[in-house]
Amino acid sequence: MAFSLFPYLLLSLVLISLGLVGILVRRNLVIMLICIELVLNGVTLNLLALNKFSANGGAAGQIIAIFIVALAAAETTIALALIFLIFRHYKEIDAEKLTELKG
Amino acid sequence: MSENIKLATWVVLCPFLSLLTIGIFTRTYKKLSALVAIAAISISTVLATMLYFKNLYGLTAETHYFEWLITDYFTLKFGILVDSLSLGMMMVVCIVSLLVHIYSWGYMEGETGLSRYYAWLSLFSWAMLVFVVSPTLLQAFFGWELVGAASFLLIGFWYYKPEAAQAARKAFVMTRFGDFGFFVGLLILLVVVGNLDFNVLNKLGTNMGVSPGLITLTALLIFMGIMGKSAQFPLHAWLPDAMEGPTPVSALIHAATMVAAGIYLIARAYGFFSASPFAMEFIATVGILTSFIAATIALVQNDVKKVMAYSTISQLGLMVAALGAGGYKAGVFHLFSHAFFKALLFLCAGSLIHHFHTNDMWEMAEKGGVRKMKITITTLIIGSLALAGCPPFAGFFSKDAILVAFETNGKHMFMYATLIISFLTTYYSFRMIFVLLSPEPEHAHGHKEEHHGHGHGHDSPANMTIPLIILAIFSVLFGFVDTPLMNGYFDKFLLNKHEIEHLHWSVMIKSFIVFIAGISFAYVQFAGKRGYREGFAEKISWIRALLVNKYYVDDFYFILVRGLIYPFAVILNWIDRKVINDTGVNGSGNIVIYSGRFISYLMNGLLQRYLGTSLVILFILVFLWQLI
Repeated sequence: MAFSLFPYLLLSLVLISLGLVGILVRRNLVIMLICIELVLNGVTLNLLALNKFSANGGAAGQIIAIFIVALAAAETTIALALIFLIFRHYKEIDAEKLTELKG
Repeated sequence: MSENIKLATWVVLCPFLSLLTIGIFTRTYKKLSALVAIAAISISTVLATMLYFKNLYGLTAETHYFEWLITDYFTLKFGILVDSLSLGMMMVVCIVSLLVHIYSWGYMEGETGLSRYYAWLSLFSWAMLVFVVSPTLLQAFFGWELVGAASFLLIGFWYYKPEAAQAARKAFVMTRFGDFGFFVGLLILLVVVGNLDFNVLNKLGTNMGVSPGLITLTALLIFMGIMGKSAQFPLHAWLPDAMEGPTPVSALIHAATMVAAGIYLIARAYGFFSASPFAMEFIATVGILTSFIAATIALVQNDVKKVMAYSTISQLGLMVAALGAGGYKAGVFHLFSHAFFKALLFLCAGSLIHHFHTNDMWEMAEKGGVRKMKITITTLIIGSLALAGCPPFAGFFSKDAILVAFETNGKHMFMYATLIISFLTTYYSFRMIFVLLSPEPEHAHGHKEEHHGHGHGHDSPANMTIPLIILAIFSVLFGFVDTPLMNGYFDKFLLNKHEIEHLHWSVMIKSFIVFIAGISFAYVQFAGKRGYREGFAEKISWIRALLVNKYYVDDFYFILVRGLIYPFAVILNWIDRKVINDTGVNGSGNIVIYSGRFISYLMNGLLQRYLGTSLVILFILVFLWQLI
């Protein structure tokens, strides 16, 4: 079975789209954070696939992928901490009710 | 600063300080305000008298300038100018104003707005003094406008009466219409000459390299202001209406502070006006025409104040004509003497109105008791004799000077016109006197006392009669200053001319004959006949209609305003409301409001909306980038 680039890109597109839709549609901050993770993973998959099929032995894509994984871990930690604080302060993690910035 | 300038400065400042004091401190104390104003104008009068006695035989111009605005092209200056003309005028203004202040104490007793009244009187005197001492046309314009504003405030003193409010507005708008010309003339002079000092303007005709056409143009424009202020035809219509104000104010307006300003300006800028023969001719013609028209209208007036108002217009016309015909001294002399006897006449009228509570001379005669007001009626007769030009009263000599000026300058038409006007003047003033003096009806006695709580036998209080007596003395004696009896004092004072002018007997006899004719005519028609209301002017119906309707000048203005100016104003109003306001001012505001409202939808604090917006913009940017 021959491997081709297209399924990878398709999967990554699906992941990114699902993530974006999730971010836009769901109101729960934790779910939104999970969706951001989905987008990040989609991007990582995209980079790895492109590195494999069209970089001719280069490793830049893989290196960036590792960076993304590390940064995503850090980002998730900070975001979860923020969500904790928001919950403690407002007793609420529904994005629709947190409208202090309303102009 | 010389001694003279210092004195003059304080003469001008005193009424201003009184205005400030009343406005800031004594507003709520009526009597105190009145005292402050009277004290201030008294001080001014004393200082002016001191100044006068220091310079008993006149003085050459002394000027002190304060620079106000200095540019590369011109310097605008204020200042104080003291010379014979301004000194004389200052004396007249101070004396008349002081007497009016004192008289008002009695006349306005019990009025609620007394503080306001005296504050405006002070403003009026101050404005006129600022005008009188001004060495530059610009300061003259400032004083001129202040005088207009003060007269607006005083004519409309009883602002709750619609007629008074309307009269005030009419006076203001009409004089402002003339002032528009004045201001344009002033600006042209400022641009072309670059200097508005009277001593420069007066030499404009000789060597300044300004074209004669330009001088004529600016002279006529400035004369337009004078036509408004000094009530010359056709801008005279405001003056009779201005009778709605309190009577002492009318005295002030007619004698010293308002209408005198125009005459004074011609005298002040006499060299400037003389530089244009055409303008002078025009001025003289307008003057004599005004004089004749006003004198004829006065023939049919029944309101004593209206008679006097038209006589003022007529006399002002004579002054303007005299100045226009080259009679500088005659015009100024008549201005001064007219100030005294016209103030006297108005204050007498005020005394009568105060007593009878009506302005109509027939009603006064009907109520009876005029003869018992001895001081008022005596001084009224003296004033009328002076106005009519009976020798040896003030008006006789000053009118004589005008006649002589016409004769020596070869304007015989003007002289004969003046004689006719004198005849009319004598006739209408003695029509008034004879009507007032007509014998009392028998039945009036008992029935009047019921009406009038205080009876009808006594005269007005002393603070009203004393000014009358003082002014009467001036009206009797002032004329002699121009006769050989006083060694031609007036010539010496005003013109620094030392030879004594002999009396012009031929002119004097002519004017005396005219006086006798006028008074006997009035006697035949009105004396002793009760209820006989028609003089010769009323007999012919079309003349009567013409005169009663004041030559249809008011109707003409009415049609002009209704038919032409009002529709134009409606169009302008529409443009202002719809185009400038709704589209321009409110339009730009609305754009900001609506765009702000639209943008504020984005600022709703909803996280997902922000994200969505960012994504949409991102997609748009990517799309655009693709296009490039």
